[in-house]
Amino acid sequence: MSLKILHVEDDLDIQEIAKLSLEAIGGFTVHQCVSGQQALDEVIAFNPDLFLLDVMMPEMSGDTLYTKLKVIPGLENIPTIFMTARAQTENIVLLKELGALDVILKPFDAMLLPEQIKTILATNS
Amino acid sequence: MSQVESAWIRKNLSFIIALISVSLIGPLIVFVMYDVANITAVLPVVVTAALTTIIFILGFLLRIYDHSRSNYAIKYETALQTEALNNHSLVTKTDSNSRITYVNDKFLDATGYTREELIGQSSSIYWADGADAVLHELRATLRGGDKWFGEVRLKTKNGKLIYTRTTYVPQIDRHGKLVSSIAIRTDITENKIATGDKNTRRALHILRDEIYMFEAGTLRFTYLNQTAMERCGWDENTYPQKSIFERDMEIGETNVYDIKAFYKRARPLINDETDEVTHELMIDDRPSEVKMQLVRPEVGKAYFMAIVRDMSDHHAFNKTKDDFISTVSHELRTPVTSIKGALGLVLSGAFGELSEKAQGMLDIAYRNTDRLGLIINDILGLEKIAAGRMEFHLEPVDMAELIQDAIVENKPYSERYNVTIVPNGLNDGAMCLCDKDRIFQVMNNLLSNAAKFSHKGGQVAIKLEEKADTIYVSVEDFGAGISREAKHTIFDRLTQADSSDRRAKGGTGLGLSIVKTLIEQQDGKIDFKSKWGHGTKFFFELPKAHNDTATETIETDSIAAE
Repeated sequence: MSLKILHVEDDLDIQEIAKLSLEAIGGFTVHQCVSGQQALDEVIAFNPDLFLLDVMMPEMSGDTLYTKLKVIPGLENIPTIFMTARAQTENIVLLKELGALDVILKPFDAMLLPEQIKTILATNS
Repeated sequence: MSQVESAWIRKNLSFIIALISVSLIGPLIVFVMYDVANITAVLPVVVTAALTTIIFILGFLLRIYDHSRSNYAIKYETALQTEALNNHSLVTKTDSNSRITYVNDKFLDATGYTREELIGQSSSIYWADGADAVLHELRATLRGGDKWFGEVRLKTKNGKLIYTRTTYVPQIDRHGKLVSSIAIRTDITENKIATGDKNTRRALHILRDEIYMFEAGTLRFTYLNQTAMERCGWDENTYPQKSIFERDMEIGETNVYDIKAFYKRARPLINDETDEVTHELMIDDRPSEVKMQLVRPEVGKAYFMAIVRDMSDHHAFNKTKDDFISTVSHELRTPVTSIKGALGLVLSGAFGELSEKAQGMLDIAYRNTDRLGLIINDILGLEKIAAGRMEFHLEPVDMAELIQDAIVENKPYSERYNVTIVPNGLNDGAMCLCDKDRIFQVMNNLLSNAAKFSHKGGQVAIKLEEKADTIYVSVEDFGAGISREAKHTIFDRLTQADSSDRRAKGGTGLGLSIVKTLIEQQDGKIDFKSKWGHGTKFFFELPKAHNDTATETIETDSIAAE
């Protein structure tokens, strides 16, 4: 059974590209949400193996969503990868300190995204 | 015979003639009368003549005495005046061709010349530069027979300037021609400086920054400008009784003045190692920048001058700027992500085969999206460095490993430009003290540059060498090289050897400027050698990590002023 990824991204174009990349190239099962609140509402039903979270989103940022997801029983150990356009080192360090497996920088290469995720998971397993 | 004496004789000529006449004619009459009559008959005449002669002689002697006395008085007064003049003024005399014929001692003292060096020379030798207009006016006035007054700047033998107030008096001959001129000058240099000081003080007084001057020995305040007085709540009468202990500039954690901290900061000034020290302190709960100098005047006691600037607005502005840049970078990267992702997927053939032309066009679009991403990164990187907010996490780094990683990272570039990378000396154990990510960025930049500027099918040589205290790395291409004109500006921002390269090869022209700053901020050195038509070698050296080297974090110094 393929890896189930909950992808939270407010930009619909990026959502579509990531979905194509992750499903068509990576062979993952992807469920996408446009906001943190939608993710919180739908996470239990989807029961993901991995969170792929955008950081800068209106209303609820990716890091806030992460802390909220982590307190939901049963989700404490789900690995998380952030995606961010804020490439400054200090932002990346902060996200890693928060508990992220890794941070994928935008703009990402759609062809290499699935491979990148697999490498991160393999390195941290 | 002096002019004064001959004029006196002319004036008294009739009196002298009368005196000589009486003296000669008197005895002559007595002699004639002696023959004509007996002596007793002429005795009254003789006595009268003798008495008249005596009176005349006495009168004459009296006049001589009187004249000598007044002559002496005039001479004495003239000598006094000359002495006073020589003590007060710088005096020179020049002929009609402006050749110097006389200089007084005071002039020599003031200008540093010897008399031999000046006599016979043109007076332009001691005129300060840029006085042509004054000289022209002066000469015209003197030729017209008039006196000239004005301010004149003179140049001493060692080039120092002297300000003088000068009077020129011409000497004109019977035909109205200028024969010579005398210049009498008063040295007003000190007045000028004092006026300048006064103006400086006035400017300091109303400056927006706070200015504190305090004695180096007692640390008592000797001067506070208006802003400083307002901030402290003191005035001219109160601050002389205060010292820096009563100004909470250096209040430590224990709420007591930290004198040690003060002297630690002031030590480079006291030891004469630098002219100014700058540090940031919290004063009255506001971030403040303190610039301090130690002034050692020729006369009087040494004192510290501290200029305190409130940095609250500056910090607030920086915060706004940071937020803005961060937001803009995010806003720019988001569409770039979509474009790049969409193009990448289409190019991969995920939606079917593309025609050759469509593939070519999409390749161009994809490459330029990449380029746009690099530009955004470069601008952000440079902005951070310029604002002095880039942190360096220094740790021992295996340079060979870092270079290998950079070669792998640059594979797409080498493939695109069909370039082979030839590493040399990549032995394990060459440990360098640096920020791994930043040096990776440097290597990436140098390698992609070398690939871009190589000939198709060419090589890029990398060399790693361990030196006594440093690790040396070079990246060499065998492409077109850098022209002589471009060599001076290659590390400047927005520069590429040929500006058309920017479009042809991609890149912002910011890369090498960032590379240089990154290396130098980590105590390294970077340079290059290039031969037109033969290629370019960039090489840098970084401090070697020793076994006991600890990891440390440093912040860049601000180079925002660049």
